[in-house]
Amino acid sequence: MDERFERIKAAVGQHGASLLEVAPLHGGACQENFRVELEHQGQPLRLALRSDAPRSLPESLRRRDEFEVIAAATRVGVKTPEARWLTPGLLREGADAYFLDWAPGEAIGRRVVRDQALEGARARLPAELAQSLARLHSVRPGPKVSLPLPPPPKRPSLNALDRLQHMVDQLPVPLPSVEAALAWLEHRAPENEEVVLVHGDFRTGNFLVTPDGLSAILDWEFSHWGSPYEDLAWVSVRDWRFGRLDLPIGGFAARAPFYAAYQAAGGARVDQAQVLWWEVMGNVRWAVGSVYQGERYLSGEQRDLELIAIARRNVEMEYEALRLMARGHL
Amino acid sequence: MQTRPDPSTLLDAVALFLLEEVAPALKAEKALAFRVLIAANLATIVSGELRTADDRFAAERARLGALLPGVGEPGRLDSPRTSERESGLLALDRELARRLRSGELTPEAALAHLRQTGAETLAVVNPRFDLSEEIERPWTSR
Repeated sequence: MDERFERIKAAVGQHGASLLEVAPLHGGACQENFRVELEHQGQPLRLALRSDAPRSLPESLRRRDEFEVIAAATRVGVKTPEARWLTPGLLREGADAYFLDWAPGEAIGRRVVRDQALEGARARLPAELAQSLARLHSVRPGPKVSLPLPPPPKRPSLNALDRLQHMVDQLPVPLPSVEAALAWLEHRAPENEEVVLVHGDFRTGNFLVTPDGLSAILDWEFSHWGSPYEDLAWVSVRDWRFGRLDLPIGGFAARAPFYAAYQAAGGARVDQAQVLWWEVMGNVRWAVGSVYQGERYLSGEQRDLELIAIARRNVEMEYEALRLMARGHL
Repeated sequence: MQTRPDPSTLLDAVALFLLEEVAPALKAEKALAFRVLIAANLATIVSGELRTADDRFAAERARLGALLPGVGEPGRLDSPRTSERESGLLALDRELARRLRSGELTPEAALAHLRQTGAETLAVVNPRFDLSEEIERPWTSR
């Protein structure tokens, strides 16, 4: 039997489960995912296994910390699968892993925004997502909340701006459009910002959807203390509309009903100026991110055609940021 | 120097071959077929870049010259060598980026140039990109 199977078998065995099958799932840059079929308390049980990958991305959480964030999110009723059985060194030394309840559905962006079978689901998504997001944003830093995250910033906007400037400074090419956007953002940074628990990658592609609606919000690796507007605006970044530009909430809904549902579920009243600020920021951040993907190829770190192809796409996100800046409104 | 067929035409032929012959033969291997489409797209992009390089260089240089009077190095910008001209343009871009960062130039002053350069680039790297001012219905918070 292969080593991976034996290691997973031993891990689930500690919880009285026997392992029947392991199948790899699409992972990411910093984690490996598997579907595992178990027998547990006399019943078949399907779980997802999420493990640290050999490398991680800057500003992303390791599985051990992600596990705590998911627990905090499920406690307040965010629709995301429960995590269990955190196991240090499960697949290999130093790589932590945990198991997630299995959630069905489709996550691939262009299918979520276009599949005929999901038409009814798309009508329900804004309200369902808004409810989960408002609940998530009800988690605030304080003496009773201990999450393994970097300390909450006083000014999330300036903090995000600083980090992005630092990333730009590491690049060998000048990016004048990005600099223009950063200067624009600096002059308009929102004040009196709230600081809440933020998902950090709240967008189509991380929403698992069935014909009945939202099945789960996935991928908590970029979670952090920040502004609620980071999540509220990231979902509208141009690339995450998957071609449905006319539907600014993730390519499946208009803005007004989503923001109204967020407020109705206990979130703050959505302020257009702050959405605009973070939407410009989101597009610029993704522009810089795409340049970084190309650098990963050019440095020899990872020779992957998709990475170097993405390096020709930053102009799309830059153009969108400039469009929003020129308009001055959404 | 051999000039016929020219480099753009050769790259277009590569793209066509990948799209019309290779990709259809890979129906069973979706992941590989997807990467073949990416490769074809890259060949098309480079072909377009070669075809439009001179015009785009001239337009961008003229705009940067107006935005940054007295900054460029005419020796490099007028060089017969493409690589020299490109590094001359890159130096202008670097100065533009520096002035935007330092506040010597406002984003508003550079916006028209940056948007035009973006539009000219997008026409080559992604001709399907929607350049409209308005891509969604205006939202009011009322």
